Amino acid sequence: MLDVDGETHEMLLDNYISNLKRKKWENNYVIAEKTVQLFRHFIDTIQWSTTIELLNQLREYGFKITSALPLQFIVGNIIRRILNIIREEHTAARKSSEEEIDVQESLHKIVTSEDDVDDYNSIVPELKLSIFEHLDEFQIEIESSNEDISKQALEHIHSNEIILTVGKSSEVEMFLKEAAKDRTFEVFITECSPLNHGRQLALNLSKHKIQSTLIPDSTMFGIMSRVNKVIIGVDSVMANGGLRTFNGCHAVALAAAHYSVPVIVLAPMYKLSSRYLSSYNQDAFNEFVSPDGVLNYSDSVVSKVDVYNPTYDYVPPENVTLFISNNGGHSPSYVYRLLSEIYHPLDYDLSVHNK
Amino acid sequence: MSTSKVQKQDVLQAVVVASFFHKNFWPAADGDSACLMPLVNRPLLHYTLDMLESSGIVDVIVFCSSGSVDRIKASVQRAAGARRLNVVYTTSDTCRSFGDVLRHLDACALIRNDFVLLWGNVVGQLPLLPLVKRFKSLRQSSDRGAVMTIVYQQSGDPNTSSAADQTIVLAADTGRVLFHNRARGKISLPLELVLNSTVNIRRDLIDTNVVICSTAVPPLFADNFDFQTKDDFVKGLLINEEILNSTLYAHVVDGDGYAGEVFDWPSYQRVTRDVMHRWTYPQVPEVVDKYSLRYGNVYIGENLKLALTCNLGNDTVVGSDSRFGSSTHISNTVIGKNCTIGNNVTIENSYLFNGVTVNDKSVIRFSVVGENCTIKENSNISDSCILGSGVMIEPNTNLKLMRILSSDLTNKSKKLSAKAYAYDTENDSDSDDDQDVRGLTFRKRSWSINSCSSSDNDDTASVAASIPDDTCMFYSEVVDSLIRGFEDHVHCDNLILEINSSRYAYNINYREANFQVIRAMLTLNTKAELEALNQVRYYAQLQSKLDYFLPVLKNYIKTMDSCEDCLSAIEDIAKGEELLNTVIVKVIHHLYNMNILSEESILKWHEKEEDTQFAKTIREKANKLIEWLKDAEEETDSDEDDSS
Repeated sequence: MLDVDGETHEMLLDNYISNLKRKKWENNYVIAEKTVQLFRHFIDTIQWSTTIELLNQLREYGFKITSALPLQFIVGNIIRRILNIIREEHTAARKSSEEEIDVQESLHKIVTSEDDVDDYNSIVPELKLSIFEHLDEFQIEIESSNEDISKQALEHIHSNEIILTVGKSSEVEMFLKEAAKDRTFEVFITECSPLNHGRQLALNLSKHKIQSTLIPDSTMFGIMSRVNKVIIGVDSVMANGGLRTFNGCHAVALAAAHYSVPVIVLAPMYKLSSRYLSSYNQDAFNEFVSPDGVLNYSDSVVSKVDVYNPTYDYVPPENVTLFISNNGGHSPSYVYRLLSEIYHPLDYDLSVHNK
Repeated sequence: MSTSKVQKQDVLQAVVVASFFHKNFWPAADGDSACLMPLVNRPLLHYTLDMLESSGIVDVIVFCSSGSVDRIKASVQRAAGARRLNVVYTTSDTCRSFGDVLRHLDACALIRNDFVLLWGNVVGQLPLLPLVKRFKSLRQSSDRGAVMTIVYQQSGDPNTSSAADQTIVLAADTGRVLFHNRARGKISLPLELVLNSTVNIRRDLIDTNVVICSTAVPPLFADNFDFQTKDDFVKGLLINEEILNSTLYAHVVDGDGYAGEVFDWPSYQRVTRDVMHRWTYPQVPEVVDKYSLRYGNVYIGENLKLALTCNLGNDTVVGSDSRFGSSTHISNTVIGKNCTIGNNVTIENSYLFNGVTVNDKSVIRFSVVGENCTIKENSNISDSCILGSGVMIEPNTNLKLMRILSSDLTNKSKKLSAKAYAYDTENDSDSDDDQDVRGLTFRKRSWSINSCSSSDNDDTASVAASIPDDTCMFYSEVVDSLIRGFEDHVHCDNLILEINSSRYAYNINYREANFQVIRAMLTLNTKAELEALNQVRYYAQLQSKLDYFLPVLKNYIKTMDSCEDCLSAIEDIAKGEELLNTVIVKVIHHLYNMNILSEESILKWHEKEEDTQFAKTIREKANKLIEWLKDAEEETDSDEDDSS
């Protein structure tokens, strides 16, 4: 639980940012949970009467966090999602008070409607309650997202198939375990150097009686011709359907494309990010961590070489066959549509205040 | 996290010593507040506190001298994570060394439990809690006498490990420290170390200045008032292991983190490089502050104005709000915030602190430029220049190997311009501490493959002011004493007393002392004087000096051995000095006449087989003297053999 007793919002933000910077929460799932908890607390304690006041205050906090942590895409996703929830609840409440209409929005309706632009300036009674209800749903969605994804495992993994995965991802682990309940198949796991998380996954799967083989990253291409499917996890999905994922995945995706092996990406909805790849430089996309692991500090060459240890790889959308989210399968070209469903266009840029 | 519920004895404390008791960084920073000196545009102390905070240590005691406590407090408050730390300041005016600080801690009774002790100059990222846990379990299970775990960083870099220059012997199984020596070159290990157990003898370890101490450490310092530094402590404990019943352990960091200490300029360079190369992650510029990183380890701050043709090379940090002119080249350099760099400027391997202005066409290499300095057009500052804050360098100035101040506080500085005074290290005879102050390492690293093996010759030889070893120090003291003695007609007994006390101070043995005294006596003249003298007058003057110092000579040259030393000293000096070379036989003869040198010793010296050409010619020259001596022997029984 987040320790919120008697601390100001600034302190909370400060602690939250420092925890993220220090990687106290390794897992994206934990980061998502903590972020929802934090913003729940904010919604509860901020003094607001009109919806726009609440939105502006949250956007300000959100801007603070995202500018302090430009590389944590998840945080921005969650914040935008929460803002969208508030907007939705506001609109729904207003519309239901004005006239009883179908809340369900269809593509046709969105395209054709010349809706009056809502300024969120009105006071909506009971809004807080409905927001909290919606947030509860959202939290449950996050919690159960891995389960929801793994439920679709049987549609994708068939008997005696050979699956290749990269490193360790909780989604992939659960997905494979779920499929193993009914089918037998073989898994190749690349080590994913330098962190070598692949070893842990191999251990976990073999405990679960799944036939798994750990291979060095370099042998991946040789094995690819025998592989039926590549299933990987992801750090976040970019707005164009590209992936920001563990280092080494791009090579795997290219090898898969060479042998026409389908690449399936397991991505819960909260990993959908509204950002595009603008440069390979760290400022926008990648994160370089300590060279430790690539090279030991005790090596005598340390002072003579520049060592890079990037965390992520960018995989372009054309190398991805299918996304499996908790809502089902989507092709990369459909990501833009999902984005417009879960985020409000006004929230893409958190820095600008709405009037 | 609130600490109120945690039981008091479970709280892990950290003690940060924020006073360095050395002037290695002067004049860029003084000893009291050197921990506030920026390293990659962030005060050193912030790195240390950040490391503690990320290890989960909340209770921090900061020791600082009373003069700097306000500045340190203010700086800590600006640190990002300070709010999450529970910082207690303690200060004392009487502390003159690290040992005093621990005695002070003991007196104040601030320590309640095992604690982490570190200096305010530690940069790195090290999980401390596992180390403390291991230390505690060690004390509980196997060794109750364990008082300290010293954390070392393993380094394969020949530059750094030879700079640290320490030999440590560790028990292979437990990591217990068995032997510690800081000597250069050859060392001798006691045989019993290796007889019964497997040990690791290591020279690749560098200090991190992080130690985990038990509560027994401050009382140990209090009981042994001669412990001044950590090295004293380590040495004292190892020698008196049985008496004090305390043992030391070492933890070597390799792969599970990084820690480095910044204690002088070479280590400042090394740690800066490591921060830029991200070994300290997540304590890297763009995580702790607002920078963006480009390939080649180029960190760029906010709000920069870079001219189109300005070139930022590898390993460069540029602070926010700085401006750069066109055709300016910058590489391997840290530039502070709010700096203004003109056109056609070249800055390489240097450190510019905040608010520096560099005007057009200036060149800065391997130098440190303090806060708010101004460097005017066409200046060239290179080879380990250290500029204090607020210095103004006039146009067209060439500076090398200098320490520059903005004002003349000590009246010992040479005035360069209104706001630039060069501090002359050599003339500072009354500075009480003879610490070796090392400048930046300014020769370029050689990229050849075999540079690792030949590290002693070319990689480290270029430290600006190399450490004077004890013998050299002794020699220069003797020269000082003799010059003063001759000019002021000091009584020779007093001179002997002075020389002897220097001899004890620098731990010089008898024979070495004899050798050095003679050398000093023969080299009293300065270069300029020598040039003015011709051979005859030179000898006359030398003779008068020798006569004056007769009692001194008598005191030192008594035995056969000492005569031998004396002769070899003369030979040694003659080798380097043309004038003395011409009169060497006369000098030897004179010394014989004064009953300083015995006949036997001269003969023995002459007979000694020597390989070098120089030694042979000298002996040839002395042939006449020898013949005469042999004749004289037959005539008179010599009685000048006053060996004791």
